[in-house]
Amino acid sequence: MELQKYLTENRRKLADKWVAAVIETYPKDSVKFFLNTKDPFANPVGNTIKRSIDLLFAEVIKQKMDPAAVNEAMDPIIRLRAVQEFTPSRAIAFILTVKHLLSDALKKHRTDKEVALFLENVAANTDELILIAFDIYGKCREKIYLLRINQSKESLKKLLIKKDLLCEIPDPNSQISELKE
Amino acid sequence: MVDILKPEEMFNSIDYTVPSDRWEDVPPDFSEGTFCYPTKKKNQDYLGIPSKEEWSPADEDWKLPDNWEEIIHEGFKERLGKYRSLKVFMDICVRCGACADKCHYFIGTGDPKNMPVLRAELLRSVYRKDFTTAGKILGSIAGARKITPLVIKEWFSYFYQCSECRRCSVYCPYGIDTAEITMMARELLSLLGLNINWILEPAANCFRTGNHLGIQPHAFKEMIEFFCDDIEEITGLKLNPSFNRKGAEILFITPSGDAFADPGTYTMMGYLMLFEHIGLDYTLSTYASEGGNFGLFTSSEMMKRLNGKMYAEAKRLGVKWILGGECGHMWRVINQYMETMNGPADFMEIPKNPITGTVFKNAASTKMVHIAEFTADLIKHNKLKLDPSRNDKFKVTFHDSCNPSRGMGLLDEPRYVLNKVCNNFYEMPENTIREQTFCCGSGAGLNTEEIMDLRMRGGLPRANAVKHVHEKYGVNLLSCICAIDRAALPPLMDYWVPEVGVTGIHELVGNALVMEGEIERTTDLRFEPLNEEEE
Repeated sequence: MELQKYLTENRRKLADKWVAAVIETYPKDSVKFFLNTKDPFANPVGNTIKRSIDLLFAEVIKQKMDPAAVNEAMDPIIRLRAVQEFTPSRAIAFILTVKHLLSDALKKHRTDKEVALFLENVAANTDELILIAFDIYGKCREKIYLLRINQSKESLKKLLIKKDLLCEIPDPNSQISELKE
Repeated sequence: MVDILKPEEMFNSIDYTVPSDRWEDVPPDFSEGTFCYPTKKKNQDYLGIPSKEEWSPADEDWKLPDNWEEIIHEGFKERLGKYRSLKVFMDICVRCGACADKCHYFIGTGDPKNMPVLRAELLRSVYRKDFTTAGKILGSIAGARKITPLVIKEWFSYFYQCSECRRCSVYCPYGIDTAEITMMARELLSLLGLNINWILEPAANCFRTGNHLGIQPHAFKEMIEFFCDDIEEITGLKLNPSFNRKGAEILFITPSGDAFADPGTYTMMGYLMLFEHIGLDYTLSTYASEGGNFGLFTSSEMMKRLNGKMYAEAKRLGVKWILGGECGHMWRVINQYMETMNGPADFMEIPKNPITGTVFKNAASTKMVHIAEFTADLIKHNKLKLDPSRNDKFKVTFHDSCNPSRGMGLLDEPRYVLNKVCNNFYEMPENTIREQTFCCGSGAGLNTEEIMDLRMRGGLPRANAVKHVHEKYGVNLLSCICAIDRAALPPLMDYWVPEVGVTGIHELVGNALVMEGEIERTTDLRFEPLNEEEE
C-alpha cells in the first residue's frame, strides 16, 4: 500500500479519532460541548486538546520525532489534565490510544513490510511520548504544591502574628487549657 | 462571538441515549484537595451563628444536628417568604440550558453539576418536594427529591464551587441571578454550622478588629507609614496621611489586602500618591479598615453587619462621603444591597469631586464612589500630570473583575484610566471581557490554598485569554480592580502563563503621576528600573 499517501489523506480523520478518544475521558454530559464548541475562548479545554493532539499526531507518525516540537505540543494538554480530576495514570493514558488507533486502521495491511515497520516505529514513539508526558505531569504537580506552599508561606499574616502585630479571635478552648496548666 | 452550530451539527449533537447514571445518583467527591476546610467553632461562636464541633467534609457522617431537616425546611421557608427573587428563581427556570456552558468551573472541569442550571437544580429539586403541590404529589416525575444528608453534602461541594461571579446570569433569558441561589444555599448550610474557614475567619476578624486579617489599629497605621517611607525614597516627597480624623471631607476605604499583601500594596501606594497630588481632604480609618465584606459569602445578616460598620465609622468621623478603593465584591454589596440593608446614608452628602466639581449622582443613596470613576473624572478634567512612558516596559491588558463589571457596570472608567497612564494597552478577546468577563476562579471565598487544583481549572478560561494576548501582543502585565484578583491571579498566571505579572490600575497611575516637587524617578513603585534597558 502507499502508506504516506494513506496517512496524508486520512490524517484529519485519524487525528479526530484520537481527539474523540481523549474527550471521552470526560463526563458524558460534557463531551458534546468539548467537541462541538469551536470558539477557543468559550471552550479552552476542547480546543487545547485538539491543538495538542493535532501536533502530537504529526510527530508520532514521523520516523524521528522532534523533541522540542513534542514538548511544546505535549505541555498544554498535560498541564490541563494535571489539574483536572484524573488519577496520574488516567491523565496520561490517552497517549496510548494513538498506537492502537493506527494499528487498527492499518490492520489489513500489517503484512506489508513498510506498514509493519511503521507501526513498530509508532509504538516506539508512543512509549517515548508517555515518558515525556510523565515528566511534564510531574512538573505540573510540583508547581501546584509550590503554589500551595507559597500561599501559606508568603502570607504576611504569619509574620505579623510573630511580631505581635495581629490580634486574632482567641480560642476559648486553648485558653482554658492554658489556665489549667 | 456566539458559536452557532450548523443544522447538521445541531442534529448530530442530539444525544438520544439515556444517561447511565441519573445526576441525583452521582455522589460528590470529598477526597483531599476537592473541598475547602471547614471553619473553627470559635469563629462561629464569636459571630453568634450556629456552630459545629470539629469535622471534615471527608468524614462519612457529618454529625448534623438531630433536627437538621426541620432547620433546613424552616430556613428555606423563611427565605422564600422574605425574598420574592428566590421564589421567582426557583419557579421560573425552564432549563433552556443557555447558562450551561458559561460557568468557568464547568468549562474547566466538564463536571455537569458545575453547569449553573444543574447547580441551581440541587436546591430547586428540594424546593419542589417541600414547597410545590406538583412536587409533593408527583415526586421525581416533577423533578422533586427529598432532602437527605447526601444532598447536604452535594450542596456543600457544589455551592462552594461557585464563585458567585454571575457570568451565567448574563446569558439567562429570565435574568436568574444564580449567585443569589448560591448565597441562599450557603445561608442554609450555615444554619447547620457548615461554613468554610477561609470565609468565616475573615468575617469574624472583620467584626472584631475591622478587617479580614485581624490587623490592629497601630499595625495598620505602621503599615501605611511604611508605604510613605517607600514613596519618599522613590519620589523624594514625604506624605502624611491622617487616620481617624474627624471632620475630614472624605473617608477612604479599601480592602485590607491592599495594605498587607503584594501586589496590592503597590496599588495602595498609588492611591496615597494620587491623593497627595490633588491635595484631597481625606482620612483613613483604622476601624473601618476593610472594604471587603465576607458577609456576602455567609449570609445577608452578616453582610449587613459588616457593611454597617463602614457607615457607622463615616458617621462618627462626620465625613461628607466615602471613596472606595479597587475592590470586587465590596462593590456588589454597595451597589446592589447597601441601600436595602443600611441605606440610604442620609447623614452624608451626595459625593462631589472637590477638585473637578463633578457630582456622582449614581452614588446619591450609598454616598460611596469607586476610585476608578473618581480618577477617570480627574483625568477627564485634566487635573493630573501624567507621564505614561514610565510604564513603557509594560504591555498591559485588563481583567474586568466580576463584581465591578457585572455588579455595577464599571466597564469604561478603568480602561479610560489605563489608556491615559500607559502607552501599551491590549484587550483580551471580546467574549472574555466586560460583561462577559471570566472569573479569576477564586472569588466568593474560594481563594484558599487547599483547593488549588480547582482554582487552576476554574481560572483556565481567564488564563487562556491572557495567554492569547501574551502570545499575540507580548502582553506582560494583567491589570485588575479587585483585591481578591490581585491575590488569586498571580498563582493562576504562574501556572498557565508565567511570563505575565499582576497589578492594580492605581499602581500604574502612581508610576505615571508627575508630582509637584518630586525628584527624577529611576524606579517604579516596586523599586524596579523604569525601563527594561536599565536592568
